Amino acid sequence: MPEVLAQLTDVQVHFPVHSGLLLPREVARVRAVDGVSLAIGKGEVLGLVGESGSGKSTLGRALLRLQDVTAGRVHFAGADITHWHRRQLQAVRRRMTVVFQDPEASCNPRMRIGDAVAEPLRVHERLTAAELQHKVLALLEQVGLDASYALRWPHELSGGQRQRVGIARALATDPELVVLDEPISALDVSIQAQVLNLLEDLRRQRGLSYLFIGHDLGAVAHLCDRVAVLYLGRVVEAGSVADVIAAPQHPYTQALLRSVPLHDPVAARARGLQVLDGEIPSPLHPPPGCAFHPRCRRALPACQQNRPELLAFGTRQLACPVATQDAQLPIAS
Amino acid sequence: MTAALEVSALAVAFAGDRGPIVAVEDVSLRVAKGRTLCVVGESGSGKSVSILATMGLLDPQRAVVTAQTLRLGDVDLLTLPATQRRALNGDRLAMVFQDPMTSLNPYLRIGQQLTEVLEVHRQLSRQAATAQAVAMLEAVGISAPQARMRAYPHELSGGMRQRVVLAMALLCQPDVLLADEPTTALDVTIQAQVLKLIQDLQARNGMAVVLVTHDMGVVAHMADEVAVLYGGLVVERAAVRDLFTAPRHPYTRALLASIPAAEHRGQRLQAIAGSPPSPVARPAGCVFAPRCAFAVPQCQAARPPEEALADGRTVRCFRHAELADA
Ligand SMILES: Nc1ncnc2c1ncn2[C@@H]1O[C@H](COP(=O)(O)OP(=O)(O)O)[C@@H](O)[C@H]1O
Ligand SMILES: Nc1ncnc2c1ncn2[C@@H]1O[C@H](COP(=O)(O)OP(=O)(O)O)[C@@H](O)[C@H]1O
Ligand code: SF4
Ligand SMILES: [Mg+2]
Ligand SMILES: [Mg+2]
Repeated sequence: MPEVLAQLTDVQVHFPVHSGLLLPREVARVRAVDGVSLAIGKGEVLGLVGESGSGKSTLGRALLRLQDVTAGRVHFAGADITHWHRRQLQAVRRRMTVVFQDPEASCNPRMRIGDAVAEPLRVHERLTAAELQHKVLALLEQVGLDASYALRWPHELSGGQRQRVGIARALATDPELVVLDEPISALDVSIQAQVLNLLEDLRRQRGLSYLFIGHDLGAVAHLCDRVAVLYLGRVVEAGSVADVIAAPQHPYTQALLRSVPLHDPVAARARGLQVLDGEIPSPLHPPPGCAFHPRCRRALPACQQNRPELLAFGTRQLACPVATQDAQLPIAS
Repeated sequence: MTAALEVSALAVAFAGDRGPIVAVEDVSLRVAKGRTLCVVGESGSGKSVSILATMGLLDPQRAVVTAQTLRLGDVDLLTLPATQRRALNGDRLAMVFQDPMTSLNPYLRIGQQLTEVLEVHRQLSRQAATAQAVAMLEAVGISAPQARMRAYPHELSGGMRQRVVLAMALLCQPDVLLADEPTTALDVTIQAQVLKLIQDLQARNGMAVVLVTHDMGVVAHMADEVAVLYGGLVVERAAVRDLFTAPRHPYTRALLASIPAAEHRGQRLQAIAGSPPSPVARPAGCVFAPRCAFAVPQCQAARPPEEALADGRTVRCFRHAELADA
């Protein structure tokens, strides 16, 4: 693995639920992220997959320190930034940025495209007007929008073009890490490929690291180096794309991948739709033991009591004793 | 074989500030009993408007709808008086939207919404309607259906709501189910559940299904036939295997080639440059010409006509024959 750029260690993000008007007290907690450790290397793309509600966005926000953690540590570029204040964080904000799913979110309707891209530069850098303009036009060009777009308004752009603006904004301050939170989910299929190519080019040119949050497993397989699979706030399996996507071991990863439609009608007919029954439970009341056991076809009685630990097997990490035994995986030295 | 639903030469224009907006220019759809037609296309290609026009749900004050044929089995919808036509909706012709809340009233219990359908269309007693509603909830895989009858929509997950909407649509055993992106907002796991449910229900009651989607994987699993929409036109229509193994229209080819897959890891994706046309600025010639890798001057000059090929498909491209072996 390359040198670590960003790292979460045993991170929990719990949202307290309060009750009582006069003397509100905590009555429950949403365990959105419940003990996650992961690292992103320099120039590496880590994919984060799992059903909605599994905690992907919260985890991304915790990594960027846009969300305080309940427990655990957040490191960026060698520094422990877990408890940094606003002013201290200001210095790292420019080095780690985010692109959201909804292209609208990154475009203020009352700001011209050029001003939207200039905004982070105005906050973080002291540039002359000429320097600023030069940089904005260069950024737009990098994401495939010519100079004429600088004077246009967001409503004049298509969804794919607005997402390019979101990417230009995220790149404005020359970050090292970009969290991409479902950046192509809202786009048309023919535009998704354009944006994926753009992200891949930018990564190569700039040596960027990405945390790519996505539910399109085809896109994840295409763009990512490694993948972590999240279920109810915990990583159940992680490893290289070759390990996790091509040869999944955790029953949840297997079921998730089997739910993805095939793109070949003959194979699709032959295999049929493979259904994982049930729904992801609420993180307010996670099931005891392995959180996946109520939906798991391979669950043993012990799975209802013992919470599986994430263990390393070679380059793969896996949190399922049943899968481990069945696959007879060698424990990493 | 007579089609369960047949639509031909459908066109829809909305009144706009600067003249009419032609949302749908020429769309023909046909689906037989027990079969599934998938309608695919990018956003803005006219999928929803085509479905809404077929259901007769567009506001006649704002939309001008014309068609050569609009038949539900042996019923001619074009000449049917409006009240009779409306009575078919929810009865012989049912619809499911992407957002289940389009069909559900947030302030009414699920049970009341389901039984009302039966009371209106089938004049059933409250008791008989309740029994059928509970049975239908069970059929769409909702556990403890008796208890769920008392739930409000907000108490259910997105996947559960879509199941309830399916139950509601199927209560009267429609001949045709029109489903407009019913799984687009759902996780892949829940999508697979809902699609499987549609397949199972169809196998049981033999209804025809028109499924709108933008996901070629969904098409591969669900479709017998496929209509590919682009810029308000059906640019290609074919049996599902023919479409995937030998797409004839350059847009269909490009769309299939652009899908990321693990096999192509490390290679550049074959993206389609540009973006789809808006209905107020459609090119004069072929609607795909500005993005087409095969366009020749003729393509900018005129709309290619819809041609029927020997294998039963239709294509709208001047160059489809010479490109067939390319
Ligand atoms: N600010 C918040 N307050 C309370 N609960 C939250 C908050 N943010 C997220 N959650 C809950 O945490 C869980 C994880 O959410 P999220 O990180 O958005 O998941 P994902 O991105 O995987 O869909 C969900 O159950 C969500 O409802
Ligand atoms: N009520 C309306 N008034 C004006 N234009 C409309 C209206 N409804 C849809 N359109 C336009 O018609 C075109 C087709 O829309 P639609 O059928 O919803 O596309 P799709 O479902 O394929 O995404 C779009 O360009 C849309 O903006
Ligand atoms: S008619 Fe011309 S522009 Fe249109 S799809 Fe065919 S080759 Fe391309
Ligand atoms: Mg999210
Ligand atoms: Mg639509």
